[in-house]
Amino acid sequence: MTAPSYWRERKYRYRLIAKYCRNCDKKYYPPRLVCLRCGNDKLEEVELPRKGTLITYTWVTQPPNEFAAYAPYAIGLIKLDDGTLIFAQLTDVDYEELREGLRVEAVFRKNV
Amino acid sequence: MNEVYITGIGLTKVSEHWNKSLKHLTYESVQNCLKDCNYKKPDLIVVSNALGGFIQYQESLSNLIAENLSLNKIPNLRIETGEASGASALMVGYMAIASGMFKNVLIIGVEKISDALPHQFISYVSSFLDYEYFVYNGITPASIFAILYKLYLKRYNAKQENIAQFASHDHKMAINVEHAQYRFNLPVERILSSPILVDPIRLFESYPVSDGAASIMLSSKDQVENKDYSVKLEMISASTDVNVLYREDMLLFASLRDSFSQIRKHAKIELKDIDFLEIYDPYTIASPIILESLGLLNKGEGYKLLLEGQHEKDGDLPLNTHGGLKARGHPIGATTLYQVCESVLQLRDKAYNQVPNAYIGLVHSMNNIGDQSFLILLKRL
Ligand SMILES: [Zn+2]
Repeated sequence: MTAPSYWRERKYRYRLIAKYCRNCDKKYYPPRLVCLRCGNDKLEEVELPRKGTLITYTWVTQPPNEFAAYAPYAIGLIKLDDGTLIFAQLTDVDYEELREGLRVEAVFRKNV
Repeated sequence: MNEVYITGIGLTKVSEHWNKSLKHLTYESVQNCLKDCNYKKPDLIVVSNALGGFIQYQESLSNLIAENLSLNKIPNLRIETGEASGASALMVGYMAIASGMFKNVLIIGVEKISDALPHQFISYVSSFLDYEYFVYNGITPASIFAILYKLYLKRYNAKQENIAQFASHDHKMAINVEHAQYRFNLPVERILSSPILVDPIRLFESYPVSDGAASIMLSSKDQVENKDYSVKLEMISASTDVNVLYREDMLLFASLRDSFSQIRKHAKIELKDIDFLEIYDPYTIASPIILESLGLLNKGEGYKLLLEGQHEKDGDLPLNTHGGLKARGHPIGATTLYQVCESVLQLRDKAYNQVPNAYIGLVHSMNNIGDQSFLILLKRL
């Protein structure tokens, strides 16, 4: 991914900022510019909760080139505490310890 | 709107073609196609290719292919909609004939994956997703299918051995198919003891690395010479869905459900009218979800007809009679054209696993996890 693209998206990624449609009470993460239900293009920016529950998870042994150095790694489908679904990598946990319903929280990890 | 016919098809064997380039592969399939349609002269070329820009660093591919085939002085273009590129190319060709603007349109699907290193290839196919948010987090299409797989097993209390059976089915079909990549039996026990690719997806539940090219000549009615060989391209329907995270139900491809309602509405075709079905099954878990989204089976029962043997060539609804994505192979931009060529063979009574009395065939194609769905309806003349 190019440097300007990291820079452009940094707020949304690092602070988990979603787009929110007040008409539909619906949050979009990844952020979208128009509500996919009602077409409203005046979406607000809202910070998502940083805690959630693991719905399910998998173990990536065939990574894309960008993550070749980190494989194998776990990714999870997470329901944040406001109900928003996100995919994220799971860190600081062994694969054997993962289970559905596990409480998780968003943290920063440095790419080495 | 003018009617659209398929007057010629041409294939190459799906394989890892180390000694052939995009040019060689397309040349071979187009020569077969031109011979098959008794050397019609195309007035438009539509190329389907998803990854040539990434893997071969080749853009403007359609013009290069046209020059290499000496099909000059006619328009050419390349279509890309990820894994569904072939279906989109066919749709563009359909529009070109239906509008009356062109009489013979040559559709060429080609992909050469073996030129890429494995991790690079995963990056490239992952680019079909929203790169800035999915790939950035290490999410790949395979990992999303893996998550759907786990959700499916849990919600419906299903057994993996029943889902894996779809790969076994594909392989059994491919044994007779000359152009298929992997022509051997693969019992479920072997699939389930193969290495884990992305938990719970086993290696043999996934599509392989494939190179291939397939070509189709689309023609207007006045160009049809041989009625026994030509097939009517009755309709192509297409629909889309939001990405999986926004969906109400991750285990349903709403875009496919919509595509089939269009077929039902405009072509007046019901599932019971279809003599055989080709589905786009990159991973085994895709198959039951596709069959359920089509409305063929209830949710959670997508493998029921498979276990009853109804997807065999003489069953109620023959499925992937030439091996599907796992055994025929999955040269991405060419895959849907292979599916359609194989269906044409069925409707000509020349298939490798011939379905008795095959008059109507339905081909399904999709991009990502049903983000885009296509259905292609074919009829014998
Ligand atoms: Zn809205």
